[in-house]
This record gives sequence, C-alpha cells and structure tokens, in this order.
Amino acid sequence: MTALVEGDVVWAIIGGSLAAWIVISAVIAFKSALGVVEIFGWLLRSWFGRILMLLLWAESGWHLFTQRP
Amino acid sequence: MAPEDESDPTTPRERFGHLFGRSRTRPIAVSAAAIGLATLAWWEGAQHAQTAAAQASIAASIAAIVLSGVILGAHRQQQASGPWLSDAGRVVSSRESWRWPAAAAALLWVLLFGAVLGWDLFSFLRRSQEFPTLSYLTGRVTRFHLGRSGLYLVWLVVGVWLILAHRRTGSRQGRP
Repeated sequence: MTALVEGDVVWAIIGGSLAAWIVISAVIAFKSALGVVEIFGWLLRSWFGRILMLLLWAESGWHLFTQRP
Repeated sequence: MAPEDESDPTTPRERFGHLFGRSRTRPIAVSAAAIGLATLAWWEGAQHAQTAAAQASIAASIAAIVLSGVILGAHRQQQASGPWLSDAGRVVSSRESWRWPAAAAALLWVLLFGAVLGWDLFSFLRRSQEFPTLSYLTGRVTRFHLGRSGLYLVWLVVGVWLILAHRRTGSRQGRP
C-alpha cells in the first residue's frame, strides 16, 4: 500500500470537485446547455467534434496502456 | 450551442437497438460480444506497457474503433462540420450565451479543467514522489492485472460510445 502524500490529497480534492460538478451539471440540466450531457451531445453532433473526442480517447489509451510502466 | 433535434431518440434501446436487430439471435449476439470483450480485457490485463504485444493490441483496438466509427457514422452525423463550427462560433460570440447561469457553469468548467491541467503540469515539473502526476496515479491501478483489465474495458466502452452516441438514426440518405 502506498502512503498518502501531499499531491494525493490535492488530486482527491480536484477529482472530488470535478465528479461532484459532473453529477450536479447532469442532474440540474442547465437551460444554458452547459451540463456534461449537453456538452457531449453537442460535441458528438458532427464529424469534427466526434473525431476530436476520438483523438483524445486514442491518445489517452496509448499513453495509459503502452507508456505507463 | 444548437438544441438537440426533436426526433433524436433518447433511450438506449432506441439508440442502439437497430445495431442488433429484433431477432431471437440478438441475446446470443450481445452475450457473445460481452464475453469476447471480457476475454480481450482479461488478456490485455496480463500485458505490460512498453512491450510489443501491448502496443500492438492497443493500436489494433484504436484502429478497430476508428474504422467502425467511420463505417457506422457515414451519413449519420446530425450536422455537417462547417455549420457546426459556425454555430459554435456564433454561440460563443453571442452576449446572450454568457448570462447567468451559463456564465457560472462555463467558469466552473474552466476552473476545474484548469486545476487538472495546472496541477498535473506542476507535479510533472516538480518531479517528486510527493507530487504524483495523473499518469503516475493511473499507473498505480494499471500495474495490477485486474486494474489494467478494468481500465481497458472502461476505455473500450467509452470508445464504442463515442462512435455510436448521438448519431442520426433512421434513413441513411443524404449528408452529412
């Protein structure tokens, strides 16, 4: 088991805040269309946004599964 | 940001049902796909990063998803890229778009993603065990067989969702 370090605590705070906001924005469903569901729905409307998301997905997978020791 | 089409289906059954048809063989096809994915994920979990096998399997996964996306997405995008970009520019530059609560929501997104990127960059530059990067944190999960398998499965499912979600259903006629 790895001991908890200062950086872990900061990551936990950032991750918790991000997760909370994602849930809140999805549940509240802002009329402004800036909730997480609306943002992804908008990004995936066209090839441009979809390819952009696929590039991010591919790059993250390549990094996580082939470059992380 | 343009509103969703009113004809846009909302339930998973409506979105993905046409992929598997309505025949009696559908449960068999879905089960076979699930077993195949689980087996692939378990095998991937046994691989080690920076090996030829890991690189080949991840490259093949990316190629399969992207190719499937091109085939399944042809003429099924809700909007052409040009008008989509124009709409995005118009919405961003419009004063109406930046009133409460949109402005608050946008600010929160910027702050949170800024925090992720900023803290990751800070941790990367410090190069200290006291400040792990996001990549290092995920390495704590992927070094275990089950962790690597699980994360690979989640990543694959996200990829499948990215190629199938929010496509136009119904007729394949016309563009985009």
